[in-house]
Amino acid sequence: MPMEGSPDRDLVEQTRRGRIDAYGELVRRYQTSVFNVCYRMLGERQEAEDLAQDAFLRAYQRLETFDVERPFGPWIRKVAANLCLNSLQKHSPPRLSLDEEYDDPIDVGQPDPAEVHERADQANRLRLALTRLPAHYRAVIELRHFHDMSYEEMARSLALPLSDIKTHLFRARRLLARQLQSPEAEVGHASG
Amino acid sequence: MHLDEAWLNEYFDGRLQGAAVRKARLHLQTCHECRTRLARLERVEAALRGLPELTLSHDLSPSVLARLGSRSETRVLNWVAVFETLGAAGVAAYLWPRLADWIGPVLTGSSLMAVTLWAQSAWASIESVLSRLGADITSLAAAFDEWSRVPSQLAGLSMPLAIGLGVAALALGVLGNSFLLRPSLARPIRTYGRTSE
Repeated sequence: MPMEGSPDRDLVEQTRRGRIDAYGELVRRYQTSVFNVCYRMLGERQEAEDLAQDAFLRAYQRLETFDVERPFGPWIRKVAANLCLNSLQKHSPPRLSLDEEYDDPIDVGQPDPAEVHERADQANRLRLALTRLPAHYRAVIELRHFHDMSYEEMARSLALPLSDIKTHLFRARRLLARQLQSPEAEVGHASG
Repeated sequence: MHLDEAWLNEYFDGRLQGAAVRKARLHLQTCHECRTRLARLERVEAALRGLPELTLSHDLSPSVLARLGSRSETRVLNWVAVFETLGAAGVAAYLWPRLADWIGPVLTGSSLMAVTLWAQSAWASIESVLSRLGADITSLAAAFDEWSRVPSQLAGLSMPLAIGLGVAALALGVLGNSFLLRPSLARPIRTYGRTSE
């Protein structure tokens, strides 16, 4: 039976019954978004790919606990975010270099190359700023802005008091704002 | 008096309610600086929302499925290890009376005796169960007994040397198993592709 058009719920249930190829289809569907969660949090391509693979393995092991009434995408992305946070806490200093980040090719197919360049430049600066944030700041930005979690959900997910979540969030945003205004601004020093 | 940063962020995230949100709105109508700070938050939000997704240059699913497969192999290999251990324990129990003569000096008399009696009774039980099941193990046991007799060349082996040989054999076994089990240690499978924006 072709799986490309099957709803996520059916694929999860088939996987639970031992159809490993159904899980392969879920991986294909969500690998890009999971990889992007990992890349935003880790800032390094190869590590992001490794963690994305790990996230799918972890999710497979925990598939029995997944509620099929809920969407699969946010769940697997949250699994990935938690894995990345664990990894960040183990290796605190980010390994990203400016040169590596600017390796990204610019899409020259767009009509206005200057505008495209400016957008790509801002995206690179933002990614760089994200990877320079302390681990918990990066986590709250990821969970709030990309997973639409409430403050309370973030507090539960990160096992932190609500007051810490509020502080991390406003400090992280302040650092990002500063970095977006001035690429040379120092981001890494304010970790407290 | 300006809105403090935590409050401004909560206003931005829509967490303030009732009088608090009215107070914040009123203040923002008259305070240019707080409006500028709010606009800065909106710019950060817009930049994050507009961050383009990177695309993977290759499909991760074959690697993930391969690693899931290797984990299944690990479970099979774990069963192999269980049977290996049980087999080793059986052989050790069978050989114990003979081994006891060798390692006797390092054990106290009472513990040596207790273990020896236990090994003999355990083996006798196994033999009786197998005999009741119809297995003719007498000749097999005799052959094994002959085979497992300490060779005459080793009879005069000193205790430290015997222990050293045992440790070396164990180490070789562990190394061998690590080599055999190596494929089951599921690591990320890297395909070294480039991603593009």
